[in-house]
Amino acid sequence: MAIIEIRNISKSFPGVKALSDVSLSIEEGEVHAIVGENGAGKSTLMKILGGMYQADSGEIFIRGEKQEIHSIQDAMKAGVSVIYQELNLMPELTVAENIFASGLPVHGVVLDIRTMNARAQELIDSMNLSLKPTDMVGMLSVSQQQMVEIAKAISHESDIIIMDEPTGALNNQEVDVLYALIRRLKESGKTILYISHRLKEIFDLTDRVSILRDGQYVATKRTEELTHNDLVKLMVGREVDQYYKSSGHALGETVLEVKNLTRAGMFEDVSFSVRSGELLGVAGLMGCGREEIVKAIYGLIRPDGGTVTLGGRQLQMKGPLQAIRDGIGFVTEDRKSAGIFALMTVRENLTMNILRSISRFGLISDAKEQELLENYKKRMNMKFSSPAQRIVNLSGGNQQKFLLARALASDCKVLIMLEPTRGIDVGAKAEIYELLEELAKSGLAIIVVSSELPEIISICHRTLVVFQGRITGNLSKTEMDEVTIMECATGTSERLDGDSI
Amino acid sequence: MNDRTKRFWAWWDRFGILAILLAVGLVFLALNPRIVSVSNLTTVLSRSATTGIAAAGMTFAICAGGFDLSVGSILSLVTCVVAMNIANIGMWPSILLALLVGVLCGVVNGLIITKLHIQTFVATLATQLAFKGAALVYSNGKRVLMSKNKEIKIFSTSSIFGIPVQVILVVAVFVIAYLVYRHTRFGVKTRAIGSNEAAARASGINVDRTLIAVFVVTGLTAACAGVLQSSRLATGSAIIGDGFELDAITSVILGGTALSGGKGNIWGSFIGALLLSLIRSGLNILGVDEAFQKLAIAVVLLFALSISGIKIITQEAAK
Repeated sequence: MAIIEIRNISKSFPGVKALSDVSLSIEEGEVHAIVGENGAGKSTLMKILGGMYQADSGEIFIRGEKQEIHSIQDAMKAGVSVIYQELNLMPELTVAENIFASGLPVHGVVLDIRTMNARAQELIDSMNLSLKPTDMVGMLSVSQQQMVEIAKAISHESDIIIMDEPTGALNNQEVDVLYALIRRLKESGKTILYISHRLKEIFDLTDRVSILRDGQYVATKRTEELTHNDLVKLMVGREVDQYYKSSGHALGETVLEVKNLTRAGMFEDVSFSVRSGELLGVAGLMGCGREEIVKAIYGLIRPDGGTVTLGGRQLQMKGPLQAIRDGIGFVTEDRKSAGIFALMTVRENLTMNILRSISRFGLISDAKEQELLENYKKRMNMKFSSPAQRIVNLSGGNQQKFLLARALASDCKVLIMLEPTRGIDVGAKAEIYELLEELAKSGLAIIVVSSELPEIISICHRTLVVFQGRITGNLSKTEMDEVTIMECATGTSERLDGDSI
Repeated sequence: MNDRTKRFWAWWDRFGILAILLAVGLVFLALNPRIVSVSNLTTVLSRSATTGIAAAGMTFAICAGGFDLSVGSILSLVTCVVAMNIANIGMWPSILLALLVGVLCGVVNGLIITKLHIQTFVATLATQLAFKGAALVYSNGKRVLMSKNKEIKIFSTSSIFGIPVQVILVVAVFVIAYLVYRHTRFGVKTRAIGSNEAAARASGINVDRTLIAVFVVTGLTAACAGVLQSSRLATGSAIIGDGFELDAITSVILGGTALSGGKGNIWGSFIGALLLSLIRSGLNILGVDEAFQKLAIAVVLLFALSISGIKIITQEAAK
């Protein structure tokens, strides 16, 4: 019997139809994937199930009973818990307080802290985590926070658990812990709705897949009957090369040279160089220091020693403002909190770095701003309804294009891009890869830091691998494969003689 | 950042305000020992009672990520309610009525904030005017003297076992506030909302109800302070509480409660109120002009805040 039956759900937001007439059913005890490109409506659908949004029309049945879900509390009562993509934790509260926030145990009116911590400890133990119930959540790493979020959902003892991109911030080992957890939940009879961009996870974990496209239901299939390509085709409605193949072009002179860059506790004696037209990857496990190295080059982290030379001139490294003037472009890995200005318009978001150069007598030139916007829109195939649209309402892929355009607008000679395709859909991914390739061809030096090895392997000419703050791999295109990179990333071998061809 | 600096800041978060209080006390001791005599310190404690009681409530509002700018007007309104009714219905009923008015003001604040979705700062700025207006209308804009009901003075003049009733009241309020803050669901939920309101909502916390309760707490504590103030002056007036909210907020900020929400320090607010009271009393005894007293308080406030600033700078540098 279907545990959840969704019938004819529609939902509109100002200017967008997020879901139209979606119906699907979920069997009890299965792990059911919901997939689709960004903007396909899967997160909206989950938020409706979880009580965050209300559908404009349509019905939801749980175990055959019609549900009126108007709030998160209603959803919890109906047995639905959601782990949202954005972390929903309270940093100033302890782990235990976060887990039990909606049902704090009490003796009369007095909080029963001992019981609360004991129950949290049980939960933590059952999940094999190394946390203390009394740890402040704000002091935890992002992946630990993610685990707390999952613990919270489990603590509600809901029959239905919805996970929206739960692995976004987890490293491989933590993903394994999550896999084991999901399998255990399934064994105990829970139903799991699993949303992910990472197709591998869908094939590893799920029994069935439902595909949404542009707010509409496409199909539900048994996972084992599908191939990667089938699934991608269903998601985008057309054939897409999942792995971009770079065409190769001649490289120019060395543009950026980093020598003996050191920051105690983060990275040590890092030296490398990038040539004009080169796409240089930086790989490594989470926490190895790969982000910190490039952030130091951009001036976000102050190094203890070492030099960075750009075009023969040694940089002063005073901070991002200086870095932008020196010709370094930077696209953050944390689009939401360190990238976009969520409530500002797309146009304002584009020109944030170059206000001085498009201003006259202190007034920003509308015409110049508009011209830039038109230019980049054409060049990058950006999709937005008007220059005055708030950037937060764009899909992740389009937001990413804006961040890239912002970096380029300041005429950089070196582009640093962290996690270029994090949280964006398959179609936009291919577009970003194409853009990076084009930019490199036009002579830009590009450094791509990514935790997605296939990404690095397919687009980069050469890759550095970082292990415990030191470079342990400098691999040319021919040496680059997942096994070699992982060997360097785990410190089992060192290969430093690579060169771009 | 190394462990030692980390530990220092953790210590500072909890006891920094106490250190400042002691430092100010030592300065006064050097200038004029009479300021830190037992009898004057008792006066300082007593005088801190009204600000302190309101600051206890304000800590909850700021911890929830908000502000209550209307507490001064609530205090004024309450003094009018006590003064206008005491002759007819007696002292205790008029006090009860006054406290109810405080609760009601809090409910009004809470409803405006949660149902009309107006930010706490703006909403309570409006009700500050509204409550003061109500007090003016109610009292016909006149001072109402309680010359025939001197019994109201017992709260501000009598002592139990040699301890002034005011001191007992303020300490009792802080003990209760601390217990509520640390050991009830309400306390956790308040911190949760200040820490991340969206997350609190998503965790199934009834944010609206909790916020209304927070403003009931500030309203009620402001009303308690109002009763005490009417006892001190044996007067009700619609302008008695002008500027009072700033003293309460200053105490809370001095005490180390983060304006960004989520992180409160109840006892810090008490020490903050004491510090204000000590500075005023000390400067009075030294014969410093009222205008310079304000400047002195500004300097102490900026000093305390600049240390938090240094904390942020060291943490940034460590990144």
